[in-house]
Amino acid sequence: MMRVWRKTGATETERPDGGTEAKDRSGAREPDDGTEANNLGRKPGDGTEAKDRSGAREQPAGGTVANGPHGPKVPPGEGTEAQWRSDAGAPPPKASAEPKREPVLRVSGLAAAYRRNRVLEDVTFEIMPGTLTAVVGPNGAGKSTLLKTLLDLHPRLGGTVSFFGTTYRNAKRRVGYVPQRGSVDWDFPTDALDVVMMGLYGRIGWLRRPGRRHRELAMAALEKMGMGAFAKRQISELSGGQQQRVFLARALVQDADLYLLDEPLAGVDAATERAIMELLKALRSAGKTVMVVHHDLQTVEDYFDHVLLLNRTVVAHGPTAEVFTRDNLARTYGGMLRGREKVTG
Amino acid sequence: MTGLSHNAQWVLASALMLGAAAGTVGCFAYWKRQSLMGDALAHAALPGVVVGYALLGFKSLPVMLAGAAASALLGALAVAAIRAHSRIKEDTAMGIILSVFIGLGIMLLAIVNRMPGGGKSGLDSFIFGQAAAMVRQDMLVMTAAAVVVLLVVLISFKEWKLYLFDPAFARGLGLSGRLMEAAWMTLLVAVIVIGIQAVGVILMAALLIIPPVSARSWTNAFGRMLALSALFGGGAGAVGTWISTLGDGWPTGPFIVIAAAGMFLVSLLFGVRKGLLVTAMLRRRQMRRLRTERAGDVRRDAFAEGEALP
Repeated sequence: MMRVWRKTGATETERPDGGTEAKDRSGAREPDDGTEANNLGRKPGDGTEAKDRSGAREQPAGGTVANGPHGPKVPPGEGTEAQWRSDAGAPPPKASAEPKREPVLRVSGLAAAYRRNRVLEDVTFEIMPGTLTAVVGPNGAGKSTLLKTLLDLHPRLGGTVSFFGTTYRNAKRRVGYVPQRGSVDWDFPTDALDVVMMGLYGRIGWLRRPGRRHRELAMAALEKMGMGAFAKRQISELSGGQQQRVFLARALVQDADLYLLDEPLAGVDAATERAIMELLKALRSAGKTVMVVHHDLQTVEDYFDHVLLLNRTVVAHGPTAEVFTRDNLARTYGGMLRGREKVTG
Repeated sequence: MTGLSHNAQWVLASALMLGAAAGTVGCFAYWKRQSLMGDALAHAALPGVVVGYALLGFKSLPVMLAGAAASALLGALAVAAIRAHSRIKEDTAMGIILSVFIGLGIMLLAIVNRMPGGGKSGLDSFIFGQAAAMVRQDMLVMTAAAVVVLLVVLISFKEWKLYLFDPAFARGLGLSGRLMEAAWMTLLVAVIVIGIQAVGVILMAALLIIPPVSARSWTNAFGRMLALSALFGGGAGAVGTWISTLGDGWPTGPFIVIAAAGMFLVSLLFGVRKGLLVTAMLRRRQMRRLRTERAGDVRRDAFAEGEALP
């Protein structure tokens, strides 16, 4: 159900030839959408409703963007047409009840550099809500830098970035970031529960003390990651995989709408990898959007519905089935994959 | 402590508060990996003290301390500028600033001491510290400043913990990195300024560095580390000051540092979390357990896996 809904959403906005038509239709429908979303919102307990509500929430912010040249922005031939056709075979039942879908993240012409080297060049892409996207590319392709630049943690040379139709500054609360595990000093004197609580600090409010309710929320998130027994364990005494789960739990309590994760699966064992992927898929089912820097090409097709192939610039971006091809990978890795067997079956 | 004069009690009290403030702010420096920043800024304060005196022509602690704050901040800016505009790393930049400013300070001091009346200025006491040289009102002001520093830390404890552990994540939550950086510099300069009269510019860093590392040996919780570090700093300040009052004209700074070093030694050896003794005991226990297990278990495991015995 979820999947169908998401796909039809994509067809409405990405359909290359019907771009203006879709825009007109949605433009006329926008006021209705709001009320419909509200109506749906009164019946809790269904994942799709949550999505509808989140869509409604985006509308004020995305209103101006809706008038922009949305259709032409998606390059034709990236496979959206094929997707349209396959979806048309099975007409979605709720097609008319859907609000217009705006990308949660819109990046255009982004460039970034370290001292001498230009790391990112003209990076342009859009992330649609409810997707689970892998950012894939060779070492030094700028994957981590991309995340950091999006989040203003690394200076932007040029280009524009908009989260939920506004700047990152204004959308901070709706964006969760999980940095690489090695980015902090795990010798810091604190326990797992305390680290997870940090995810709530924004909600607790500055200069206020966390209460029992916050502790319970953090505990619940730890348990969701299978880390309940380690709540009081020193973070320095956790294994790498456990530390990664603590970071995930911290992101979870943030209750963001868009998550950006920097190599969450690097150097973790199979059990942790499974736990993390279950969490990410659960987030997607709850209508959240997830973008993950990923290094393991073998698992891309199993784990992610969208792929962004990056090597200083976007080589290809779209649904995994269409974009994750041998040709595109060869272009991304510059022929380094010559020895590999065919990637897609 | 019954034999102490009223004035000496005041000196002790202010040294205690100063030590506590330095101990807490030192914890921040420890986790920011900037322990040496305190050293650089304390040294950088000396020219400001001398200029403050020279401008007025007589000794006024508030003016001299304002000068100290200004020149310490100048030092901080210089470190930041060198780091930003050259390939020189921060520690090297701090080394440059530290030595240049202390050299400048001592040069200015030599000039001022040759001025009429300059020889009796007592400016030398800023180099090694002379807590007894403070008058009652100065002590009041400094004690109050130390209390303010402690209160600020107490109120914003949660924010500091977040910022020190994961600054990038803190920024993602909306905690301004620039604000925290400015707050950190303000606290550091404040502690240095209220401390240099008692401890001296040369040894001020010891009071920022030794208490946190001592506290680290005893606890695994950031809050407790802060509290312990304040306790150690305060204790060292009080004990050192008390010893220095036993002799006439003894400098305070060295005794404070020796007292702090004593606490560090005890913590290093006997600290329950990271102390050498506990670590060694735990390792021995593990080894003993391994030896007893080896006797039976290895055989059993190997047998179960069908391996040949070694």
